[in-house]
Amino acid sequence: MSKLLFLTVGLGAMLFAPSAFAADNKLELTIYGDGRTLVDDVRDVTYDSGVQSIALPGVSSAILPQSVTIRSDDIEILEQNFDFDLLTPAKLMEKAVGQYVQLVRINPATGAEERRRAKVLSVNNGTVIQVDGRIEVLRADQVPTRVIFPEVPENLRAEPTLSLKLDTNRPGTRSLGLSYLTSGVTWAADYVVTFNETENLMDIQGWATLENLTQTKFEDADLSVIAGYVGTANNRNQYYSNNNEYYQFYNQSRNRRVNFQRQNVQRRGGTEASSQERVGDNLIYRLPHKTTLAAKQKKQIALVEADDVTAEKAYEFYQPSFVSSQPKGVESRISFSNSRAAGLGEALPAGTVRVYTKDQNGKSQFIGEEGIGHIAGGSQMSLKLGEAFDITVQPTLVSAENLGATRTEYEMKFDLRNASKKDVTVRLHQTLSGAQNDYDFLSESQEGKMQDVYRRYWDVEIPAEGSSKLTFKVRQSRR
Amino acid sequence: MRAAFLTALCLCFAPLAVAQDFEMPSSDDVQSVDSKDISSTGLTIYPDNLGFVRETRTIDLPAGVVDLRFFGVSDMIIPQSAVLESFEGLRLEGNFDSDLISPAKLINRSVGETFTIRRINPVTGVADLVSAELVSAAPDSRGRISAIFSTLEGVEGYQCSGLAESLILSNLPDDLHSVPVLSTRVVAETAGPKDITLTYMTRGLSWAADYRMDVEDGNDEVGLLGWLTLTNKTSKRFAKADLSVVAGKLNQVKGSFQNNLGRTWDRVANCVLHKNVAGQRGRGGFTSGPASALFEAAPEPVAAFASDEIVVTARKRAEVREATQEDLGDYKLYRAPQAVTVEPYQTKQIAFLSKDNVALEQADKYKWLLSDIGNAGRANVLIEGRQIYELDNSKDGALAVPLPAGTVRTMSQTEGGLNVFLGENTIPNIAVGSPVDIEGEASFLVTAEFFVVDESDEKVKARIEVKNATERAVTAEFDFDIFNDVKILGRKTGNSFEKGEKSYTLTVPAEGTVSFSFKGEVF
Repeated sequence: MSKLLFLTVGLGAMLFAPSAFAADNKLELTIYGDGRTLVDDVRDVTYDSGVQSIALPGVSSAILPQSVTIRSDDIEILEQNFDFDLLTPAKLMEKAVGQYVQLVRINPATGAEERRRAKVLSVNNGTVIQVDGRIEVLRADQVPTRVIFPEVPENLRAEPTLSLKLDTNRPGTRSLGLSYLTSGVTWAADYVVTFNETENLMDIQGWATLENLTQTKFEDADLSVIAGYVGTANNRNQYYSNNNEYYQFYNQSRNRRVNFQRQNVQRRGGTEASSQERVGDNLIYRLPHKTTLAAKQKKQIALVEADDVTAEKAYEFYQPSFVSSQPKGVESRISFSNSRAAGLGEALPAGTVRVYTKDQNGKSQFIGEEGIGHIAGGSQMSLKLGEAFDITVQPTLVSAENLGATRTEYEMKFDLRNASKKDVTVRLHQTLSGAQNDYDFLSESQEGKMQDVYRRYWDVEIPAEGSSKLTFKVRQSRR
Repeated sequence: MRAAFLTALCLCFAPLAVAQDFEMPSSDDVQSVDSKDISSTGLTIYPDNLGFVRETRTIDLPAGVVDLRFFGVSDMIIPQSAVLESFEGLRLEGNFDSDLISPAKLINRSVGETFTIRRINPVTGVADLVSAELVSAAPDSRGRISAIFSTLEGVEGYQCSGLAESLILSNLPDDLHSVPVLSTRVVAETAGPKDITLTYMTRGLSWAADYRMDVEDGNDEVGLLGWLTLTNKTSKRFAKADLSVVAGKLNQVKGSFQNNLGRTWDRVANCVLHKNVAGQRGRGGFTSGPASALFEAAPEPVAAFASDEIVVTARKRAEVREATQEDLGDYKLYRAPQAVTVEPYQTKQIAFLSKDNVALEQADKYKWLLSDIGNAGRANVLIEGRQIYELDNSKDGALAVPLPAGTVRTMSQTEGGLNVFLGENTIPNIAVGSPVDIEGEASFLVTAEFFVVDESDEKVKARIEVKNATERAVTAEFDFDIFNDVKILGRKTGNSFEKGEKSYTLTVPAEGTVSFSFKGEVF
């Protein structure tokens, strides 16, 4: 029932071109960060003559069966089957339909064992059996009953297996290449940034964290990871494949990836090419030696490393609309560029940036993290670390006056306080509903700038252990 | 500045300038070293379910390729945050095998092993022990493990019969541990003992401040005690740790690559051969019965609840050594005054603040928000006042310290010396120089009645009667937060509001009533 059957229609000519196919055995994994991985698996296979079945065990349990392609000389593929009919008690019972099993029942009064031979008639939300010529439902009486099967059915497998039905007139041992997509093997970058605020410098180390969620152990594999975006038609595929595990892991990875797009990251694009190998518009990072990626394992690989990169602290505050609120800490940000001039000069694949600084004892302490998308070389970015304890803004709506149906005048006052021992500058942003309204700033305590139609900002200086005020009056006219 | 993180757990990609002029050794040459003892621990706790752990371990490393296994890391470790500091020797790869023993994993890793099936006869209670081989342990579509075993009699599903069935193994699979283990592969250039510092982040650790504020009628000073209350929800014991906590809001990436390895396939499926039979599934397994006694190295027992570690938030009972405070970037860091042992599942308190004479802006002050009255419908309503404690936290005041977010419990003493609890409230992080408003509970003894005299076009004219049913004079403050152009009628002080400062204050004598009228325009 649950045997997966895939016929690669019309691919034969393309795949089995007569050119000699010779390669050493190898296992290559190219890991895309979106939850998909391309597996290229070359192994020796011994063929008989004529039509035969070949089992290729040890493929990924989260294989996308319809992505499989086979390369081998002088064979003609008739069928490709992915068997992932794993041995479970339920499967065992399904396969026993029409066959005899032994029942061992415990008499609820005496505890004595009673043994009976029974025939399994049907397994469908319960098991119907025939015992001593009578038909009954297994354990409908709730009496403990062991069901002993004579043997393990042959076509139930202990590991995910791809099987081929093929025809060849050249028996013997030769190479077979197998490539497919799998989910459950994914990666993201993890960056360790050590920030020295007094010198405006940071050290950065980036690691690729690889994760194998599948049940498959990839032994002595060549690993590459890809930074970039690779298209997917996944939703459509889902209807005609039933390897649930593929979609389970794929969706998991995809949901996780969404987090990297919802960032507190301000970013300007860059124009510096990477020294890494490029494939299409992706960068590829290769591991120089073979490694084993065990089932359910995480592994880290160095990606990028640079010391003394220029970096600055920045403070920002976003005021959503014209309202009063309690004092709130301003955003504390680290701002840096991955340009060559800044001392980094490398693209940064998507992942999590964790920032540390030294405490008074010289020990590293964690001060915040942020997710980033893939960042091209030469980009400028500013990552939110958290909220400053000592630097706060208290917005007050001093007055709001309606001047007719479409016009309102607001007067805002911001108390900016700085309890730290350094002078700081806070960029205060006032959000405007610029799509519906025109704004006329009638007065302001210092001149602001329009970032765009939705935002005006002021760079407000606050002295050490002091405070500042920003006030403005604005007329809002609905269009 | 030179990298603090000389080394992290890694292997390295070709184009990078990280040293790799070595021949990749075959796995036969890899030696395994287990590190079980931690010589010193640093622990930094963040407010919201995050801790940063620094463990120094002295490890006798052989030269060459070593699989280094750190036993006893936190069970809630965020493995990808792990970094090795100051380790000289070439790094290779980090494998985060932090698998703990669980029934599902035990079964899953034991396929092909011979073990004992024990069945208990439900009537006679007699145990039947049968030797069996584990044929298969496969996850179903929801990732739950179900097992099949074979005996001389034939093939059966595990725990499908409705009998109490247990699996008894004689030894643990190699890669399952009773304590969390982080492993990494490194190359040591020279043999010998080395101090290796491992840092990582972990969930399961949190802290908040707890304050006790002692107030007195008519006194414009209060006493304030502060405790850092930290909780450890991990199973790890942090022995003699250099402990600090960080106050402030740190950005954290939601769900960033969580440690979900431990959770996949960690459940044993209910055997669903007989779906329509409810409540008759086999019990047993690894967690019950004497079978589990066969596993050696049970997890470290949870320490008995150490009552002397829990300090009930109370007035200073004795000399208390306080945590010291320093700035960490834009946050505040509090350092415990001595090494501290944090037991698994423990709550612990450390003092950080003790001031007897913190000035209040005004003793016996009550506050009303006009928006509260507005929300009540602006018809003749009676609103209870809230006592408010506005602490002076200016840099020249007696307090002048940052106040980390937490809970303030207000206490007062009767003349007879009875301690009375007056309520609790939370405060956010408050910097020096920022207003500190601690609200008390609503008082049914000090109330205000609100009478609208006239209302048109959002312009309101109203009278407020403030009543004091106590035997002491109180200060009443009204905050006209929802009004523009407020004018207090018939009083000389009436129109002296600074723009944006829209509160009006008056004194109500003991057992007295004071009325005033105002007009204003609703926003």
